[in-house]
Amino acid sequence: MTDHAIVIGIDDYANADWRLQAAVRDAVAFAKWVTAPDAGRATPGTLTLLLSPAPGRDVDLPFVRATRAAIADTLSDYTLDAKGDGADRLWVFYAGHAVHQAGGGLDAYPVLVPEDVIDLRRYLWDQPLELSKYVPALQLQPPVQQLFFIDACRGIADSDDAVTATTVLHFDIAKSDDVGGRVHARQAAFHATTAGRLANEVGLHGLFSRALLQGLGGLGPTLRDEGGDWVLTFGELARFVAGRVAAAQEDLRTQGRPAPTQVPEPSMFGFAEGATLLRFTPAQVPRARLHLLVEPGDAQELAGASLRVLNSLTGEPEQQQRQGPPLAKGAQWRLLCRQHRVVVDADGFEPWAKLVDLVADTTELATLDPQRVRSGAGAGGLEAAGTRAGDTADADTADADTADAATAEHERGRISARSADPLTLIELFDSTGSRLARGYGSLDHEVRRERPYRLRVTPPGHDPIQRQAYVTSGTEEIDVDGRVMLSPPLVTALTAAHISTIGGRSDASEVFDGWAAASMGAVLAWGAWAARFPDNDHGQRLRSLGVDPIAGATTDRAYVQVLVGDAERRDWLGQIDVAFGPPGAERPRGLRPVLGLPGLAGQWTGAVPDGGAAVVVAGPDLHRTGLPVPAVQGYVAVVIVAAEPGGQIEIHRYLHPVDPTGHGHPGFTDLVRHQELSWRGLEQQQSFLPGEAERLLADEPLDPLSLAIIGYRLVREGRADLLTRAGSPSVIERMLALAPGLPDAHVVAALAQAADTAMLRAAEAGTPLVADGYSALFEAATQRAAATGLPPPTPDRPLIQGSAWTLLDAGHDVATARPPAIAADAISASPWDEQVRAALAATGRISSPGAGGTATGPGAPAPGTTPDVPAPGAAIMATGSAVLVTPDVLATTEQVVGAGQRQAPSGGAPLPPGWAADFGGGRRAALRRVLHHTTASPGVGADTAPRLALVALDAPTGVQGVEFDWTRPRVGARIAVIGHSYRDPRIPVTALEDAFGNVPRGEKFVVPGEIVQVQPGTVRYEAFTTAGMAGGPVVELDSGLVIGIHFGGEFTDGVKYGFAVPMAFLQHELRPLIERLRG
Amino acid sequence: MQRGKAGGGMAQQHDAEWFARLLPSNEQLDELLGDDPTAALLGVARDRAPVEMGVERPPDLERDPELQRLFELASTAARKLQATTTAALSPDEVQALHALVHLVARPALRVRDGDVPAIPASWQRLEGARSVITVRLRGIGRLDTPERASMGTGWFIAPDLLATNNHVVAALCGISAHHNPRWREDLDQAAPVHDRRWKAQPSSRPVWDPGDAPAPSDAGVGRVTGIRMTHPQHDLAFLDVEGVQDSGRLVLPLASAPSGEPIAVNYYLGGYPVVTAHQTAGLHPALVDLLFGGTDQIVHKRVSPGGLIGLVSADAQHDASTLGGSSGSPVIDLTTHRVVGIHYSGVYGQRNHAVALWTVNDDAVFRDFGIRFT
Repeated sequence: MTDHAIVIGIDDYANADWRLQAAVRDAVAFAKWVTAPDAGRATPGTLTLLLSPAPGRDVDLPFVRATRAAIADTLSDYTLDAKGDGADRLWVFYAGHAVHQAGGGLDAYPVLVPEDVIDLRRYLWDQPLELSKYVPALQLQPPVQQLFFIDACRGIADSDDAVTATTVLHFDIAKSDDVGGRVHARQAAFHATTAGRLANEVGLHGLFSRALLQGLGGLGPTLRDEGGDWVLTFGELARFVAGRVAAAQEDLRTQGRPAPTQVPEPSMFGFAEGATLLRFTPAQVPRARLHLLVEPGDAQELAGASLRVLNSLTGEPEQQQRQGPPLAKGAQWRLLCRQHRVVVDADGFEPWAKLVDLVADTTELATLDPQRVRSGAGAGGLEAAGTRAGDTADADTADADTADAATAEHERGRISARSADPLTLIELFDSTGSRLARGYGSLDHEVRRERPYRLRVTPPGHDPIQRQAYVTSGTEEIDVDGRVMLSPPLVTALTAAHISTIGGRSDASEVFDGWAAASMGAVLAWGAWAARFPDNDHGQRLRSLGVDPIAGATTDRAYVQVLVGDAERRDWLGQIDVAFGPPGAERPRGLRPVLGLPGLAGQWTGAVPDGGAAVVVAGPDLHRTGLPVPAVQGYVAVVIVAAEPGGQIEIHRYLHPVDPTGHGHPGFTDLVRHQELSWRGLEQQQSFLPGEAERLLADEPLDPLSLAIIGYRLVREGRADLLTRAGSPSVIERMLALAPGLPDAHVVAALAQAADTAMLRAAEAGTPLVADGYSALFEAATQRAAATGLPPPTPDRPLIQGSAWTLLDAGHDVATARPPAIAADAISASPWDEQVRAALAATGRISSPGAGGTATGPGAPAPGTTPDVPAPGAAIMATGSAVLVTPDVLATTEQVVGAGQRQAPSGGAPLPPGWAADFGGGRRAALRRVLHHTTASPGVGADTAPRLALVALDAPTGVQGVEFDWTRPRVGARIAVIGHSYRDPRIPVTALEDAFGNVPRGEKFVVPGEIVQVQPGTVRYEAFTTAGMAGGPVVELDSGLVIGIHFGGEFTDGVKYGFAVPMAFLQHELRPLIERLRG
Repeated sequence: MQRGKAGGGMAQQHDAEWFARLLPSNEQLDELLGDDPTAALLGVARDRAPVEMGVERPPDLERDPELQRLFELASTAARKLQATTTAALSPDEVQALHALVHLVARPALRVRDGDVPAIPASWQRLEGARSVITVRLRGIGRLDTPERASMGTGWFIAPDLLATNNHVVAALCGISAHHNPRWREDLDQAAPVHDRRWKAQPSSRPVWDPGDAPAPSDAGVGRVTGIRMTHPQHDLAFLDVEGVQDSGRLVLPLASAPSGEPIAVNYYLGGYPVVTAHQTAGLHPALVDLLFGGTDQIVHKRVSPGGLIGLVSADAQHDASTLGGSSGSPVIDLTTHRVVGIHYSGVYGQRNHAVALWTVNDDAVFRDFGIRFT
């Protein structure tokens, strides 16, 4: 028998804006790998190669164009006609664009985008190629092993509907009957990135595909010795690829070109992580040379080097090879391509150790430090310290990038990070993407100096924030709290309820300690939790928000409470449809206002019929979505749908006791945020901290849903015994006693006890809320269907499975592809900060006497830059934007006042007649002369930044100058660029229309964004700036102060970046001058 | 020969031989260019461009018809040379092959944050030794006048002692080796004067700066306090430097011999070539931007790999991409990562010259200063 393979690569899209560079190259490389002669995999005859190469591109393999029809036919051959019959394995590889479905888990299958799609919205509406339809169908088809590698979502062109207009599975699991039968396929899938994120293409390959092909070739992952052969498991391949992708992204960041975060996601269905994926004979397994040099020369005579081969899972040494002393010419080994640990020791020198990921011939340098005399017990010298020559066992127990015993003192440092909120999750990663430490509220960890580390900070209620950490000496103290913006209407409402908002955060707590990073969803969750307590109890101010307490609710019934919030009061609330009822028979329900959140939130409350029901929500940016509601007596199922600032839509779910006091609950505790953390921990597949699960389970009483979430996490960690053995009654018993109607309780019980009967009870109870439970039940149902010969569970309508926090928009990475620009006249009516509006008034359009010509001379853009000035030859007079520093002096970039002239005017030079600045409302003045050109030289990496110009006007405009912030801008700060926007030839018209509502024609816009990089002479932000905005101010939204002058941008992979000269860089030169001008 | 002036028969012949020697082998070229050479070269350019161009990504390279044409021409010309090394090349083909040389054969790779981030696949050995190279780069710095005008490159040959060229020292003393035929004699007279002045007047001292590019900060820089030695025969000088913490850890070790037959060994130089409009005349402007971030006169630290093409007594001729400002750069063996030479001059498109230090390792100056070759 042989394998079959379906390989698809699409570079050439009918929509020119979507064209890719490397998808076909990756697909061809995979096709050649899977059909390699003598490899025992597929053959050219069992390979279906579907490619869409760029015109004129030669491909040396026969292929068929990757049209929708061709892909659908190929997949149907296997799903309907059992084309894989007789094969051992089916390999499926896809490289190209795809769209992830809303509401799926991290490993959800995407919708493929074939070459002939032009209008994504129509395609998704009509007959999309949903892998989530084909892959489950393949489970009942041969061959018995099926492997999917999906390098998709490569910067798909934006579409509001792209992420929502898909369906996910729904099935009536109770209809599966048991009657004996046949084997179903075991599947493993590996996604280039988690759902809702972008995958990256760099140079000649996708990041994922490059690492994947290395791994499949045995170049890097740890291979297991099995009877003389070397075995690669799927789990090890996944670990290796994830590490390489993380390392590649770190490389990109150090090169100053950060890419959207990409985390490969494996997913298995009946395919064990430790199952053999590939087998290499000793002759096939790749090897590389490791050359180790030792310095200083004095150490070479004394040095010996030990090479430890580590088990990547346990970190324990498996083999050891030793060379020297002496090591005058260093040491050389020819080794399997995998991770090795090298340790060098020499009498009189400190030991040296390093982890090496060997994928090609590599040279490493060990620079040994003379040994320092140790005091006290260390008087015994090397032996006392356990570092006798040749004996470095201690070093093997430490992490690669953690400063271990073998690290010289001067190389050690500490990273100490802390947050004001004790529930903020802080994680520390090394450059390979391995997590070194994590903790809530604070983290303190020993590291090596002068190495890059990454901190991931997840405030409760918000998406993770990434930031770099680097220790040059001693301890690096890091305050990880970024400011979380609350929407102005929400702040107003909370203030009216006497709930304080401090520094952009909301302290909604009345009795519990700590800070709360509040979002609309979190405020509603607190409100619902407080509503469960009597009037004379704690939580009164939260109750004053007006969430329905469900008067007359009794503990022998089950209830549902639907809360819908719109943080920015965008008329979204009125367009949301809510329906409730038994699955398939939901009826529309009208929302009542939440009185304390006027115009911001609505609610509906009802009783849940026996057997469970579903809430269906639909509206703008929210595709019709079903949410199962369990019938758990004595509990209120809380469903929260919240549109957060920035347009992100989240769905939260809780299960609150009708009468918490009756359940012996200790009072109005911080339960809501603990539940939220549990959900997020589950969603992000975080393992528990040592002792964390035990502590949580010891907390009495926890609601049954929280117990179930903890249960799922423990099952995932292989620690289900904690659920069945600890305590009396056990956790399982407590959970089932509390909520026999909660399907998840039964699924966890079934998973923990491997009991089929519990799974059957789960099926009778309804649809699980948690993705893990849904998948487990789906797998069980499929197996039973396969065994009985019945059709497998089938999708019949949209349903959101799983996690509580489900992003329903395109996510942060393509946030700027959503309507980001706000017309100036809309701002004037909004409650924006006074200083932002002042900056808006002080921003004007600069026009020249001639039509916009080509910028030349010193004021012209440096080679390669893409200044935001209108295109040469445009039939307009405008050259850019400017901002007033006093009523009669403006600041802009040199290129704006240099456009159309052979050379920009020098300092003091008069401008020719005809130059003018227009600030709107009839406020217009002529440009008289250039007062000053900045001379400060841009710093490292900023050699393309232009100079700024201060220009005097011929008359005061009546508008005050803006206020500047002269301090260094901060990565992550929210900003807005203000300027006059024009059609920009670098940006597709469709993207412009999405961003501005229409192609801009010189209107004044406020473009919000976020700073992503700060260098001495340049600040870079994600913001949808366009031609014409150069010279406009960049306002920090927290302070309302101008932090820089915008000068250019780039449009890449659907994301628009802008650049500014930061005022901090020009502080010494401009600040005194501006203060003098202001008198 | 100057770039862009390849017209005559002799020049053409010379170009063809020069390119044939520099270009990767047929097998390597096939591997590198694959089935779509233009896309492959654009990919290499795209990888390199952000490093060269700072915060900006390159404009849409794939839609630049001139670059497309250039890279298509480069691949066909390279194939032509694969067939015969004496193939006649048109001026356009010469131009295109220069691009190929700079992209994949003899790149001058910009250093960023002490690292070499965009190494082409054709120099996989450089990639494999990246962590060692970054250590070596720490001991290499720019030699500037007190006013921070760059004059050349210097590196630590011993603690607090820099090696550079005599003509770089002359430039620091205000004597131009390019325009003054008597510069060597003048340096002999001027050296003691400047040595005394630098010792007595801190503000007059030249600066040693290991940074990737000029920066306003003086962090990590050293000050040259004296001229320890100017070699009478070779273009080699030693300078005293102070203010560099723990400079012993920055010393580049010297090799008693190359790791193999000198002509067969690969080397790399670390230094500060100055890219001027004159030096890049004739190259397509977009390519100059891609390769060097433009001709803005900003001096960036670069790593230039290459090989030896001849050895005449102590004069090692090499083909790594160097320019004015590279003077004083160490020539480092890519196997042992020890210094085998010090670069001092070159003619673009022909050859560069370095003092082959291992051939003069018994010279008294090394013994006098306790410098060992291992």
